[in-house]
Amino acid sequence: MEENFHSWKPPFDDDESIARAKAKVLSRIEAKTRYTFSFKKRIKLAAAVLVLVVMGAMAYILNNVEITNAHNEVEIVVLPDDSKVTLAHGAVISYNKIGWRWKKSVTFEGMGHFNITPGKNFTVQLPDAKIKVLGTSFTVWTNIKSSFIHCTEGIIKVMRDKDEVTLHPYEFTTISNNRISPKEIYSTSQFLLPRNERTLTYTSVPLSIVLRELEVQMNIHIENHLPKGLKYTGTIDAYDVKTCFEVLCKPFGATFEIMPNGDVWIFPQ
Amino acid sequence: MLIRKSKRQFLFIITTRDENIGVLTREEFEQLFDLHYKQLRNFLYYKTSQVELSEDVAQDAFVKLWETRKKINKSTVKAYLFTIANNLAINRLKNKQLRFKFLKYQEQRSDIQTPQYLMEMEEFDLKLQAALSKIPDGAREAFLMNRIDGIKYREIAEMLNISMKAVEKRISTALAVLRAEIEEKI
Repeated sequence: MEENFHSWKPPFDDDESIARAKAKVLSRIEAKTRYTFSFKKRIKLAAAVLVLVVMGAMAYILNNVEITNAHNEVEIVVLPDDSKVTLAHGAVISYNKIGWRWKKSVTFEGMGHFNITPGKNFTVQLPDAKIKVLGTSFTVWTNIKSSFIHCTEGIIKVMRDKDEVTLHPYEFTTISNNRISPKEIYSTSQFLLPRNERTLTYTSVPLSIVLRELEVQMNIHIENHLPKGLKYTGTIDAYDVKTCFEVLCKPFGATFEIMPNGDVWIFPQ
Repeated sequence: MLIRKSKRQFLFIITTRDENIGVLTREEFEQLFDLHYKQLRNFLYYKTSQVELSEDVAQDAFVKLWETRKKINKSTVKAYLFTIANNLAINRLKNKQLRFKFLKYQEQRSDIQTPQYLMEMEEFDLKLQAALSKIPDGAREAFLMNRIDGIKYREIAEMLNISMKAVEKRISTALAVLRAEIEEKI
């Protein structure tokens, strides 16, 4: 009987069936490994990414800096790269300390004078345009409706959508009704700041600048349809809108209209 | 006091930590397959008498082993594998009758290859194979693992996670049943 057992073997085609079985098992575990990897790792990865994104966003938000000049005098703000910005009353400048490492960019609203340290591209984001600068000085007056940019040193590029204009020293431009006006010249390297006076005297000052100052003084919006390049010399009483524009329009032979919303439109006669 | 406490903690750590417990790598898994698949499949055949079922269950057992690879005690992995296979086979074997059919090795001694002898041997083989189904579960597997695969008692004990005495007892039970069956038939 014992001999019988020794001569028996189980009914398997050994080498082939083992190789087949191994291939099957390996393909099954491969599929399982892929599945568990993709499912568990994806969840872990998603959670890690989410945590990083939230932490990054929080760190970014916490490093936002916003400076408002609430004083009546101008205030000088020094940016992380030692650039200086002189802020007029009510001007707001903001930037991110973390983002500054990669991109020197500030958001600005109000009136101010920038003195930028030479270096990488510096960007000023206005409500209606963007200014790219490379070591220079310039003045900005901006509000939601319009902007005025005057270059006092170096070169700056003013961009709005696909429109752009490059300003050299003493050149300025205005942005109104979503378009950049042709550049004009006003030879001063000073920080142009609207005067807080009732009587304003001008000597050969570009009309665009006069109108910008009146806008700020009288808190109105002016639509100028007169040709560019006009200069004004004279004294204006900025108390009454009607009287003020009668005086202003006279030398140019222009007419004006006060709109129901308070805006003033100036036309050639 | 503090030093004694920390020593105790250290001792506790080293006595409870088992170096053999760890993650089973793909290479180790393949090595285990090459080493144990054949024995496991044969064991399942001795248990079930079904070729396809034995192969399927053996493969399933290896897949299950892979699923639990992250916390494997490598010193007892063989016994663990046989336990998995045994449980899987029990679940799949319910109410199935055992019918063994073994193949014979070709190598025969030339001096005894008379037709008469061969016929008698064949008849005896069939009786023996039929008698196998009468051996109780557990005893049959242990007996056939020893007699056909030549696995030693100690190894069988290790695989089936039983003592050597239990293996001896199972094999003697199997022999007794076989003898009784064969004598009855003859």
